[in-house]
Amino acid sequence: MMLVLLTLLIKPAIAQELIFSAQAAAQQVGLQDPFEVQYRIENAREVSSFQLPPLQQVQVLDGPSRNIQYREINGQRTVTVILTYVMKARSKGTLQLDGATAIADGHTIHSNALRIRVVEGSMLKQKAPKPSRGTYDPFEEWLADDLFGGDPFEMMRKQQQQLLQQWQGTRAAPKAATSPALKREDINKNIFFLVETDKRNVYRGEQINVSYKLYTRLPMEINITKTPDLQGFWSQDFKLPNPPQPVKEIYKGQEYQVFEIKRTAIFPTQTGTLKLDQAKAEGVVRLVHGGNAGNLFDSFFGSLLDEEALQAFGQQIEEIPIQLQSSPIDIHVNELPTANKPSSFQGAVGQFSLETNISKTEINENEAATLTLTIRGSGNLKLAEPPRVLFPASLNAFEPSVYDSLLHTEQFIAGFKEINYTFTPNKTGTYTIPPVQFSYFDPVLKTYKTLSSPAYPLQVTAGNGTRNNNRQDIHDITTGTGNLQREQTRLWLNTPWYWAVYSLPLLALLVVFAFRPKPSPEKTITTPLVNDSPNNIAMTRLALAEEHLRSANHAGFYQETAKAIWLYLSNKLNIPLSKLSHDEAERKFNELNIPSNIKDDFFRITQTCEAALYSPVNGSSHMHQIYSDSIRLIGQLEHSI
Amino acid sequence: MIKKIVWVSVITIPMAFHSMASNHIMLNKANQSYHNQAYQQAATWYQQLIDDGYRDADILYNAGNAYYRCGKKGLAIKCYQESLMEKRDQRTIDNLLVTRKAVYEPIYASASIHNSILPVVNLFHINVWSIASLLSFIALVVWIIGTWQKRINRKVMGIVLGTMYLIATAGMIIAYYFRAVSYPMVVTAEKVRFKAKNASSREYLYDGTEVRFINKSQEGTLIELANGEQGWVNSEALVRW
Repeated sequence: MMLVLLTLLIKPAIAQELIFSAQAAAQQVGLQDPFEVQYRIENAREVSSFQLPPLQQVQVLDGPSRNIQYREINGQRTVTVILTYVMKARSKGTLQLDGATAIADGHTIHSNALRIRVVEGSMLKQKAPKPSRGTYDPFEEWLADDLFGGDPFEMMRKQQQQLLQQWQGTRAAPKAATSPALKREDINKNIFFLVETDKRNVYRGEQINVSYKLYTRLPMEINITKTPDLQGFWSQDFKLPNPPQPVKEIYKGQEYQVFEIKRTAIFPTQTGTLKLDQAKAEGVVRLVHGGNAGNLFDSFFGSLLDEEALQAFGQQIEEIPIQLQSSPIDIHVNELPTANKPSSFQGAVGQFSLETNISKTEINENEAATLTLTIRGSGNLKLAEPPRVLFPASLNAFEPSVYDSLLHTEQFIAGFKEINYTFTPNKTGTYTIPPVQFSYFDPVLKTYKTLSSPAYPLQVTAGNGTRNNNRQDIHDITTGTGNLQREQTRLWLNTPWYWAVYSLPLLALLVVFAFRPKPSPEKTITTPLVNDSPNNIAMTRLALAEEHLRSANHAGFYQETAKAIWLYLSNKLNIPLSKLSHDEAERKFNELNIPSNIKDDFFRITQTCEAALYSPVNGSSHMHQIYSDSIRLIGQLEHSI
Repeated sequence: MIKKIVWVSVITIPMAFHSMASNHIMLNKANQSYHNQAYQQAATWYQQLIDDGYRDADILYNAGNAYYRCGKKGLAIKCYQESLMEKRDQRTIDNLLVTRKAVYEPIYASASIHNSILPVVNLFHINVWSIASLLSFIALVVWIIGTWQKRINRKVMGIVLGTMYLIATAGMIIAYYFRAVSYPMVVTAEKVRFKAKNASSREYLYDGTEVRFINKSQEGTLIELANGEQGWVNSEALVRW
């Protein structure tokens, strides 16, 4: 039945040419309202490009959201691509959207253009807020989306007014009831809830379509309060139009408005008689009383007219709460036939096709490759177990990863299951991955079918050394008892004690810096810096002496010259200046075996300088002599010590 | 007071022994399950121990093996990496490399500065870098004070200590950044959609792909792949190690 339905639906599509259409969610929108524009390319084998028209008049808020539907019949695959954009108009007036361009099957195609009226403000804000009822109301979203304002019955009323006009014109519509006025006990004859199945005797795993329908000849507001428990079934819902679209249907000679609220594909997972228990719904119907409410049809349409208009005719609306429930349904589930059951059968029931692909047929021993199986079709795809692949012993295969994708449309549920088998080689050589077999039971033909992949040759070459690990398998576990102490490896950086310890040396540094003894000014002059060499100190002092010499400052000259020699000696011999005297210098000179001429020069110059400080009688020529002698002396001492 | 201590000891000491004994039983069961090839069961036992706070390198290593055998490459990599954080062991490194080989569509590291620095920084645990930084800082301060006090007069020592301090502190900061700020994660879902930040042909990431956290947003978790590509994936498909 399902196959027939699918064939009917898809065959015309294949026969048809490419269709590229554009559709806006509304013909009139508010300037503040976002609205959807849908581009639909149908019956293509391949869509390689899509280009929107220039969009100066609108702003794209979101999109495109893509919906891609694949169909495959007799090996022919077509694709339907639906691209949905959310847009917002930039200015009021008539919005003109030119056709979009796409390249499908190698042809450039164009969609129809769109014209949308844009009004000031928001259309959505005009709707009256509705209280939340807390239960599922199948009409809630439909009513919420209508553009007729706050009255949820406005759209239905307008539709029914059109029907009434037609009926009054032709007088061809059936009479609904013979009683002059609708009585309460007649309500259940004019509104009821049915759960229908397309089959009741099936095989385990075979798809059954269950439809929840509301038949009504009365204006009403109904919520489903309970759907049947699907114990023993795996189920998948169809995607139905939202809001539900009413259709006319003749049931037992009576014409009804029928709303299909829910449609579900169920797949029995057990055998025996399984019960779909009752579905329940609750709500209110609205009846019109008084005046010339002559028959049910008048009552039905009359009640849809404006309340003021009804009152003008002396009629009143009465809301009557009702509870509806369907009858339970028994489904007989048969075990799958055992005759001719293939060994590769693992529970798949439906109609499927198999595609296989291998990522590489030549790999080196350090690489991994993947064999991908894609099972497409309709049926209990999610319940189908991955087929077994008999990899050669020299290939190390991992647990397959499985990815399911199901497409739910109004008419069928189909999709694909992608199974990835990753493997690594253990050694070099040429291998063959044998064909993979996938079997399923076709409930229409009532036979098992087996699909098979081709065998794949695999060439494994030596590793190219790009990885430094040539192990093919992991080491075994450690079988010791382990360290069963609760351990918490904390980051020391995040602990206060770490930073406390870190701050201690810093504090010490600050304390030492703050309290270190300050050198006296004299010491600053006479104590050389550690980094200054004795020669540099002497030369600095002699430079000062030279300045005094030029300015004929006798006292300054002799003082700086004497300091230059004594500081040089102090630093060179590492003797504090305070402890240095002529006697100490002589003792050191003797220890160091300094030549006597240097010693004599030292004593002569220092004594001359000290004497000159107290009796500055010598002329500038003597000062020049002392200056050059001092430089020579320091040079000699530098070489001797 | 003594009575209280005795009572508390009487109650708590047997409880502690009982807890330890039950954990040994759990570990033995895990090891037995592994050797009986009941890898899923073994992984559950090991994970239970880890969740209870027993983050021993060997237990993490065994858990990694059990996950690997179950085909859960992402969780195996997480366990091996965490084991390596506790103890650098060649067997764990070998198993990690074998697991990486099995990842579908592996992403190789591109030549970048942080891909060059990280292996050096990862030679030591962040705590080792922290303590090295601390000790070298103390030594440097002692040297500075000694120099002020004229008890130390060795420039070379100062240069060595200063260099050591800079290297250790840089290592600590880099290790902390890549451990706590831009931390490593691994994909544990079989396949997760990857929404690239810039143009990319990559649509999916697979179980075991190692990535780095950048930030979290409404679009998911922004991550960086080893080759430098950035993009968003579903946060549920990732775990941090």
